[in-house]
Amino acid sequence: MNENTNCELIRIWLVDFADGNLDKETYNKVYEHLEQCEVCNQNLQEIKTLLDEIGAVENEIAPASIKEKFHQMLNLEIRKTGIRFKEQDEAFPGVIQVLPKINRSFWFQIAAAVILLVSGALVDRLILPASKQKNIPAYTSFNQDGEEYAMNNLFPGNILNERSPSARIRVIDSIQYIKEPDQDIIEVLFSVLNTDRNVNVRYTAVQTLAQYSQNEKIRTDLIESLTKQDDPLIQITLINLLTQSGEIRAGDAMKQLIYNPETQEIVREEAQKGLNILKL
Amino acid sequence: MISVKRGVLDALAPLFDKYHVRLYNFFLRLTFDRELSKDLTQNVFYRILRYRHSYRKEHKFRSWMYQIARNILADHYGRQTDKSQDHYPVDSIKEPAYSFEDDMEKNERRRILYTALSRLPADQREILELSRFQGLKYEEIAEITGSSVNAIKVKIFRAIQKLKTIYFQEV
Repeated sequence: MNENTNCELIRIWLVDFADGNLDKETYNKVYEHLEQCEVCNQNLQEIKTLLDEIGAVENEIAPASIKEKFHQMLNLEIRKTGIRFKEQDEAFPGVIQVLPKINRSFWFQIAAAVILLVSGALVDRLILPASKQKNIPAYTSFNQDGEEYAMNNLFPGNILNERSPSARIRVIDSIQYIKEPDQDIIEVLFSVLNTDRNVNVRYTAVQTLAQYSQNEKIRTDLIESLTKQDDPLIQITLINLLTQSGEIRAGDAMKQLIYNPETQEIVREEAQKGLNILKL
Repeated sequence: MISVKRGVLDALAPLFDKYHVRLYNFFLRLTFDRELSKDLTQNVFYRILRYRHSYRKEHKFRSWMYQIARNILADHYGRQTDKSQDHYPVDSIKEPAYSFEDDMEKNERRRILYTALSRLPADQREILELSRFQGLKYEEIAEITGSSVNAIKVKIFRAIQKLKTIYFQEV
């Protein structure tokens, strides 16, 4: 026996030998050794038996709730980013229709993604079992229950008194299930958009308001809000929304942003693009 | 995954369909706890979604996913156990994590296999899981674990030797 092909060295190759994964030269070395070595032969047989036993193990079927929760989480993220489905998810019909039709620029998507990176709390709530969620009634259906939830929680005090941003987002988010929100609700949304201390909450408010942007009064208030915002994500969202709505009255607010030295470059670019589209 | 990174989030659904059963079983064989495995599987996809911008196209999605899965498992036990302990503790299998078939002899062999697995140190259990149960090649395991291919080969060899010893003591 060659001194390099002692039992110790051969043993390291036995698994690959059993799997048929050795190159020809090494295979021959192992094979030759096995012909002479009872101990390594016994070792190989045991390895084969063990590997066969492992190979016969079948995966257990995963609980259906994993898939259900995954889709809830995914849909929530999609709604938060405002990035649309390529194809409608059959499991959740109706979700796509409520998304506002905003032209999503590259920078907008980047900005939205940045927000998501810092806003884990909301999705954490989805992952937590319902029993561990405190104070916030769960609504699982995206239709009737959502509307009921919204109607029961839509008092300005309710929203503003919610201590966690995710709780405030949840309440605002539920507004989209109200078929015809009245003026009070719209005012609540603007109040949140213009005053809430958390950008994620403000973002949810603007996304919800986007659904009603066909209303001229609401667009007027959105223009006014654009002049008050200082966060790039909200600024870009509003610029996109107003541009998409063909709102030429937003021109002055956009120019104001462009000339403001404190405006971030990506916002300035979006504002310039908006002005070009609106031909101003 | 590139599409997911670019913002087409629903492109994650086919990846979920492809991998969630494997991941669930990855956690199940390492923890012997169905409820925990369910939560940990969910967390993997949550982190994939949350950290999608850190995905690099030159890496395989599958490798990245297993890296996340390993981190989640380590985080879970890291929070619960002393650092000096084996970080995937399995003291005993109180109830079988798997539904066994009618064949009594086969059942017995399977029970012994799981018992033997549960007695391996965490790192050996994990490397066997990646290699033999998940069917990953040495190169991919090396990428996932940040080791060299040769180091992985040696680790797998040692893990199989140890598992074999325990298994045949019981049979």
